[in-house]
Amino acid sequence: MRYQVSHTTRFRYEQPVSTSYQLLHLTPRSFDKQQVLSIKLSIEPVPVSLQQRSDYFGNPVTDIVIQERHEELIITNLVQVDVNADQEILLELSPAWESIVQLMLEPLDDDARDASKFCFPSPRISIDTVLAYARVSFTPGKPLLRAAMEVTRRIFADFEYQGGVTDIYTPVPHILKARAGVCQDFAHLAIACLRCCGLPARYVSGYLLTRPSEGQPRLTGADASHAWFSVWCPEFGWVDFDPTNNLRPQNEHITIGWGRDYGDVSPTRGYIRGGGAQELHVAVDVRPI
Amino acid sequence: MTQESNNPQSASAIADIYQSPSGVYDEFMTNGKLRSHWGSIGETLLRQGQNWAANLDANVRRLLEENAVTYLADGTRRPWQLDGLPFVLNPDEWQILEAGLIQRARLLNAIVADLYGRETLLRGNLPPALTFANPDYLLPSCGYQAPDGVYLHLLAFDLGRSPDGQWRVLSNRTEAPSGLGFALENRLIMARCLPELFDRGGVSRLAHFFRSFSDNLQRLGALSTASDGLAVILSGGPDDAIYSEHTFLGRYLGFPVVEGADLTVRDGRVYLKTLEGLKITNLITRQIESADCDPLELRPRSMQGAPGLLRTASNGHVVVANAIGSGVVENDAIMSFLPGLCASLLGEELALPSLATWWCGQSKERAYVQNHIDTLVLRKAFVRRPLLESSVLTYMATDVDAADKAQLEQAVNLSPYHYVGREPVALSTVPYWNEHGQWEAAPMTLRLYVAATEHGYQVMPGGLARVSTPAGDISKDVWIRSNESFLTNAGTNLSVATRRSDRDLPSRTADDLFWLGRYLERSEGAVRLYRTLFRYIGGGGDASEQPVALDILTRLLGSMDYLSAQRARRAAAAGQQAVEQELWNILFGPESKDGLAKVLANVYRTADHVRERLSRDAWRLFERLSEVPQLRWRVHSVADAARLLDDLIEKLSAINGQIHENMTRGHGWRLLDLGRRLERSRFVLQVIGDLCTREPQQLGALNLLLDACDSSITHRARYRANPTLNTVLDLLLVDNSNPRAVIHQIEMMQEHMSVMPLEHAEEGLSESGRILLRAHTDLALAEVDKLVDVISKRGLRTHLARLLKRTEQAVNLLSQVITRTYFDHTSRHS
Repeated sequence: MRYQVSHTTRFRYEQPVSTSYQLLHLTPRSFDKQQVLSIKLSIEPVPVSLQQRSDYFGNPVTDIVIQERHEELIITNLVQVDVNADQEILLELSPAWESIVQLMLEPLDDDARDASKFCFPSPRISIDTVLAYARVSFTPGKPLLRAAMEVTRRIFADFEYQGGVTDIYTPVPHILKARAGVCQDFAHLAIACLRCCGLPARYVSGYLLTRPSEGQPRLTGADASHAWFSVWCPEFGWVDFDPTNNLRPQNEHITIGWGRDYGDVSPTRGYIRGGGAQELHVAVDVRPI
Repeated sequence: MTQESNNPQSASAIADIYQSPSGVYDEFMTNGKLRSHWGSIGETLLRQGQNWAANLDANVRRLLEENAVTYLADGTRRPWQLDGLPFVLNPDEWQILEAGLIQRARLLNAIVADLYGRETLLRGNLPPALTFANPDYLLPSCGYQAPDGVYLHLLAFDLGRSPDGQWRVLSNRTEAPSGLGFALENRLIMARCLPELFDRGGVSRLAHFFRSFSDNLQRLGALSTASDGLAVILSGGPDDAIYSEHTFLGRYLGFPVVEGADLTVRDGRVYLKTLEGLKITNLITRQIESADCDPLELRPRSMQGAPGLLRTASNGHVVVANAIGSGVVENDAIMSFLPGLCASLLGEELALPSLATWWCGQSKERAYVQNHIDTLVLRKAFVRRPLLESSVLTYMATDVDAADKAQLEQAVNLSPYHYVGREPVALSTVPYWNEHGQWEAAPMTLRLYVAATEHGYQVMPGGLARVSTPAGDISKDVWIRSNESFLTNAGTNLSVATRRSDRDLPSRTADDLFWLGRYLERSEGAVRLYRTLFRYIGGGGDASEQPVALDILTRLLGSMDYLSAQRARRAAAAGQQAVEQELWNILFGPESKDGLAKVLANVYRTADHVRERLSRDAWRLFERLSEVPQLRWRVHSVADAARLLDDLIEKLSAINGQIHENMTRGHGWRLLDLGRRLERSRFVLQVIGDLCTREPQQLGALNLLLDACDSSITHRARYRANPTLNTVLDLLLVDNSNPRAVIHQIEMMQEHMSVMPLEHAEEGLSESGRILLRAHTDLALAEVDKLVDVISKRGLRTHLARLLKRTEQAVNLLSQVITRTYFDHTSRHS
């Protein structure tokens, strides 16, 4: 599938901003399931410096500095991308989750070693208090991916999708208590469930198809950037799960990048001088071409 | 004197003075005898009696107080504790420790270089949890190539000696090791308290170590792309527990002490905002945590660093020492891996053992810990501990809540990699002088410092011994006898190296100095008014003038914001008798918001911000000044109050004298003096405005005015007559030979501004020059007769009012120009 993604981020400030530093995770990465064809990033006001690089996980990052006084910052990214993630996976065939826990303690090859980095609490994902919730799905001998799908389904069923209950700093125990949140909260919670068992899980930031083809339901979280999680096991590699929509992402999910948690791949991360209160508007449009 | 007491080595003589507990190693004595390496200091201790020790203790305390060596704990300033008996390290052991610590520093540096570089250790040698469960492993720093491969510029090691006599490393400190400044302070004090023992004992000097350390920092900074940049110390500011250490190091190394807000990243370079504009900076010795260095890429809401700093360092445009993320090896978890890593990375055997540690991130070790939970000390694996909490007891005690065993086991099972088990250690003991005036044995740890120099790592031949006493931790200077010739150290005494000029004065510091001048002058004005007030209450003034004078004074205090309008009204309404009581409460009452405490607190807070710019003597005077409000409890009568205020005036004068005599005449001093002149002008203008612009003239106003402006004596000497409005205005406004006259302030400000940087206009006068010239001309051309005699129908002296207003406007405008030109909107004052 080929998509055109348009992602506009608009900051409005109460008072003028004299200097703005932004670290952008807005450009989807290319990897085996996805190929980026073109990128067109425009920023208003024009930055004095703009640098492209890769972060620790290989995600594309853009560093910008704006030194012009402004009360509004508009970042627009237009991307064309091919997604080819349709893949039948028999979850039952994945290894028992306990064997992966063992493997992670002494990873044998580069893939396993890379996965082992994602087994631990991270700055925004604490694993305290989630064990009881996780244990319901991680019963002895259960295939890892089936357990992950079950966690996905349970979060979808047990939690209400509701904006305004949480923010980007809400810790996992609060989400668990509130029984509500948005996509990144559900991803964080699912990841915590896997990590508290000693399993590798990473956070994926991306987009959803905005207008599905006729007859298909519109997915939740399509009008902004989306988030889900990914689990690793040998043979299968990284397998994605979307607890917000209770499904395994295929061709309708576009990956921007991945990391340990939201903090590693937040679309915009900035520091401004001045500004006062700010207002943020995000508009995302993903359409097939 | 008996034969016995002349023989200090005799067992009974020692036992009379000092007993060491059994079952542990004692550093001072063995088998009832002094250990020989203690040499003359040990013998002196044994030969001299209690008086010697008590005197020594008193001297040490006095110098600690004089040098104002303090730290903050729970928001209060506490005095640093130093025992009078230094810890003497056996020279043979010193050589072993020196070699072992240099090896360890090389090893830790190699590990950090690998973890942030090629990550080869993660392919086999180290389990992933050691880095990825470690909050000090900062992913944004990965890929950073440090100049010369030095990631760890300064390391500290805490060592403890177990009963078998073996020194073991208790902890590695690589993040931003602290305590170096305290070690230096200790040394300065001990060298003064025991000068002969220090000299005769051939104690190794520290100056060489500091010079090599600082030279190397500057060399590495110059290797960045900003080869001729500045070197600075990045501090968390006065709220940091050990800010006094930062300012001390700043003075000693000659690096300006800056805070995050002083730095800015522009065009991919780090700049220090100085009085002369932005100055490129190539070396940042950080005293803040790595995670606080850059809110853009690290801890998002931290205000201590500078956004963009990490990327600037990664791109090689600035050197941060220690490298951002260097805390990755400051934990107990890595201890058990060091022997293996030493073999694989350096090809050497680890020379100096660590305290036995089992990290639960490995299954076998975790099983061992869980099976021996009752005999091991269970501790958190990835917690860095601040200097002042890392006492001996901390090493021996657990820091996890073990009350609920089942809960603890659950926690360990959930994230085993967050826990270590450590062998309990009975640390060696050493004598210290206790509060009962006896030598008592207490367990100790030894902190030694290792610095990167141009010729590899070097261990500081001294350090910080910390003794855990029932009354809390105290420190000791560490003496190591030098085998080298003293000529190598000749001429390098511990005086402060000054490489800095005021050219690198950070804008924020300049702002603080400017405001220090203002607050000083404001408090002097306030205290003068208060004093005048109490003189009148106390009957010092003419009795017939009293009620009026009180009225005028309360009004004056109100208009100067030294007395809130509400309180002033309350005081005035209360009638003659109650006025006294009310004013009393306002000025000296502990709850009062208007009183002295507030005025003096402003002075102290601002002085604290610029502490490294002040001489020790000046700082001590500020400390004394800040103590004055606490003395209010001793104020029982009007006479007491007047005395207290006299005392305050004296203290303020002493500060002014100290600043005037001992502060170099740089831009910083000029700003301070500008602030002072500015406030003095405002004060005089305001008092004249309040007392003289309206007809009829109130009785006694002129005397009061002269008193408040400290010009009574000058007036008497000059005019030999009672004051008239003409003589008073002449003296206070336009007589440029009177140091209190407004015109004199304007002239002084003109002088200062003429040499300030950034004051060169394209053509003609600068903005400040124009403002001051106009004000000066106004005053110089003023005709006193007209000022006095031109009175409107409503009784307003229009000429005088206009002149005062214009001059005040000029002064305020000048303040704005200075703020805009030099302080770059970073001001925290108002």
